[in-house]
Amino acid sequence: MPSFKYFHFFSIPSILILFFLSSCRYDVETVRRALEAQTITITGAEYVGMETCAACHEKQYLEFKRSTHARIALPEKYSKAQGCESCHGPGSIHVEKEGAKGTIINPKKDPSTCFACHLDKKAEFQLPYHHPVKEGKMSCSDCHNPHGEEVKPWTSTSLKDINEACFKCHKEQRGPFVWEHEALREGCTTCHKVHGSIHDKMLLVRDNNLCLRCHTQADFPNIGKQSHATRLPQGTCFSAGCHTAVHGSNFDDHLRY
Amino acid sequence: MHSLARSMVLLMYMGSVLLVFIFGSPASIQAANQAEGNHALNISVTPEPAQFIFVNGDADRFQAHHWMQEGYTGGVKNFSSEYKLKDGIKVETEGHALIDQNDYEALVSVKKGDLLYLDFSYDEFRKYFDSSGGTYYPFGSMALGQFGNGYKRELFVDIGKMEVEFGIKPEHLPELIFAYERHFKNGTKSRLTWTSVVVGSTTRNIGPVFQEVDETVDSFSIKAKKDIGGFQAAAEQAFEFFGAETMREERSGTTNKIRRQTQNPRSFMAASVFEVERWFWKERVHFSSGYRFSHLNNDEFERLAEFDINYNPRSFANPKNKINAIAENDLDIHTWVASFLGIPWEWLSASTRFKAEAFRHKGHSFYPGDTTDPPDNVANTTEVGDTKSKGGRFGESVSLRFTKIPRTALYTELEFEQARLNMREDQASLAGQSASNANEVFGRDTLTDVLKGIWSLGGRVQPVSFIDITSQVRYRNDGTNYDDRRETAPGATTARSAFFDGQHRDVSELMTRVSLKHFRLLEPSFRYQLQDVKYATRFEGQPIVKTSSISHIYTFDVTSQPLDELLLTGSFSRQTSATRTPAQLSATANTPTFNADVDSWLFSGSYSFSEKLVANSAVVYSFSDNFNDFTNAGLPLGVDDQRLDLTASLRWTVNDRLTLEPKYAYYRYQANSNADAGGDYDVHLLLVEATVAWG
Repeated sequence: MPSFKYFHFFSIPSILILFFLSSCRYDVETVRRALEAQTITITGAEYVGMETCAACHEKQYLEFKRSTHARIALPEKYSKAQGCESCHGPGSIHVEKEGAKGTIINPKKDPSTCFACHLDKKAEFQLPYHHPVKEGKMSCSDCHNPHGEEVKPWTSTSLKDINEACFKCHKEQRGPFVWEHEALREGCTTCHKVHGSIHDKMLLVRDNNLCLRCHTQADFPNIGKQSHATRLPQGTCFSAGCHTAVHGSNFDDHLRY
Repeated sequence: MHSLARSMVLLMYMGSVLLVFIFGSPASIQAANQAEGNHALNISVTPEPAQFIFVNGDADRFQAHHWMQEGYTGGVKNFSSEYKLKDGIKVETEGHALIDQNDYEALVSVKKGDLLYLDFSYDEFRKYFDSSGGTYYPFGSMALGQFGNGYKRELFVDIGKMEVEFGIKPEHLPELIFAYERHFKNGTKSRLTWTSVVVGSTTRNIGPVFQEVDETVDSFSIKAKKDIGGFQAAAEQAFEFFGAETMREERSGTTNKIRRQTQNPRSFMAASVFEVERWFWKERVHFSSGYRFSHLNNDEFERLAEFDINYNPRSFANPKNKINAIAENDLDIHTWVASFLGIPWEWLSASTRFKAEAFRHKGHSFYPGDTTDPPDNVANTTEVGDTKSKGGRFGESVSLRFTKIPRTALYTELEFEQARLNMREDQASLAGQSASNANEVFGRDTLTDVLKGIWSLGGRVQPVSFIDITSQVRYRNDGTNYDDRRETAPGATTARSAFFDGQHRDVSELMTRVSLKHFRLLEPSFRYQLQDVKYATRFEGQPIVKTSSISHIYTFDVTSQPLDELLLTGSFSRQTSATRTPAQLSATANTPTFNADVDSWLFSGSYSFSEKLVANSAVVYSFSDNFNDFTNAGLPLGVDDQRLDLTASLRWTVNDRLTLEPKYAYYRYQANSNADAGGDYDVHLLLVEATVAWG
């Protein structure tokens, strides 16, 4: 098959050219037309400010004051697109039509709004193994609470448990198990790249290095009291027919089954 | 149950389509609008009468990458309607049904002002899996189908949920919400627990393995909310029942030894939550607090059996036949949280949060092993596991937000956690047909202390109206100390799992994003992220060992409109990641640095020939080059491939009510055959969509 590696060599020159071209100012109206094709603008709508939103959505308005996203909200005098409208788009039509369906952006149904700032996540969801967010079968808000005090699914002061967002769907990994794997206390993201990965099962690392981050000892290739000299080359610890119950086991203290 | 629910959804769709054709015609709409208080406001249907996907190559891998099935698909891509009935009742429906893809969604919402509502939703989709195992040159590929007829499986799992929620808010009484949810998973998935393949004297675990899954979760909850003395109080009681049947089969590539594990886990959870919150002093001070108690009880029945190629029960060398293994766990968690927020001035806010948690876990298991060949279903020995743990956890955080500096928002946060866990673990071996196994007997009491700290500093600056910069640095330090109060001394060959004395983890992170707005031709944005994780692990009687994992992500995004009719977007992302341990320097079992680098390109273009005709296209290209030929040392598992996704469509607005959109897509995947067992693919997709709107 013909290779298309040449794509790769366009990367650096393209970035330089794009930055160079961007040195010319553009008029606001034209930019606006461009952005209308994106998701954070609604054709014909004007910004109305958070206080207007609060008239009907008081709960969300007050909740947002405490939210993680509010950390980087600038006063409205510097930019119209602040607070609610920075993600939901300008709200004048939504107000005029008394909240009619389709008059405001709902990021729950389209991740483009989140991707506008979280560019890296947009790229991660393009990787071969990913949660089906861009396919529309999941949304960012299934795991994150964008209005909440914490956008992250968990912090040291959350009422919820560290892996609760994952266990909503992955109950088979929840346990508790008679023999637990302590790594789960640190969260699923210790081993999984949850937005998208080039590795199957969205693993951070696909070979033994994943486990050896914690399980390398000075007398390697000993792990515990056992030499793993002939075992490690055969495959990854959990792939090689040995420690297959990596999330915890009810029966085997070495997490073999 | 889920097939019943699926039938309901299909029925609903057929009914909806019929209703649209009967009542949705312009004449019917007009007539309906004339009828007082009964208005069909909006109806929109997007049928997808025909989608064909032609795959040349590895169809399983294509389906796993793109979440869609090869062959023909038809159905309704989108349906939505909005009705206003008498007495202020509003009915909204929404959904889609792509029948051959097993992709369904249905939402029905009935609302009467602020008094009551009823929401029903059902969604289901299919997740596909790659059927290939690993590759070890010059070993061949071990795809499932290559084991012979009868072993080939179509690997997919249907995942879905149905939710019903009813809420009522009577005046002067608490608002009540009743909810029921059923989640399910059903199908066969791949596993990474690969089986061994031996060529000559070389063994590599690269044979693929599958697992059948049938899982259901039923949840019930009742929630009450009420303002009490200015405090918004909420209480929730939830119950959850989980049950699953799984069967996993591993077939050795050369010896044709088959190992089958069947598991029946079940669990019951009850959770009670109480929360109060209140704003004071013109919304300048906020207080909230919450308490949650959860009780989780689970049990598991398990059987592990070995067979020969003809499925005759056998006990091979190092036998793993386990008969009627059972386990039970109980977990109780009490959690209390509180938070205070003060906004003394518009430009300064300070908040602090606390958490206290107490937990207790008890686990018990019986693991009878049958080593007789052929197995006689009588235990030779039984391992009895017994673990108990209890402990407490405290968390505190302080946060400051500052916007006094013009065009600038700054914040800093400190977060701490302290935990102490007492764990008792004992395992005994009971004699059966054979004497008890002394190697499986051990006991241990471990006191674990955990201290964690996280500091973040970040902000956003708009020095001029067209430049927007956000940045954050974050540093995290975790320390865990394991103190073995009681421990069975391990023998020379008998390993015990508690060989850690302690571990430290340092995580340094940097994120910055710069975007330029209101520029001619281009609106670019750049984001950089660094994560540097360092582990320092101390094993019993050994010096500290340090390992590291570092990743960089560079993302460049740009929007351009060189002509009024032409809109272009582009994005480039480079992710580099390297994980290193001292094992890379070891002469034995050498394990080189693992790299996970990938470059991704995304381009899209939209051109309007006229108001009624718009062409759209998009290209996604990604490239990974991580093949590390350490054939003599281990198994190369770095990803080394290229992907190209190309889509083009034409959107033709025929009239106010009808839009047609034919679409073509081409997907290509090429992998380095020395590193990847799966095949390449070339895929063509043809699709026609039509959107019909009434109202």
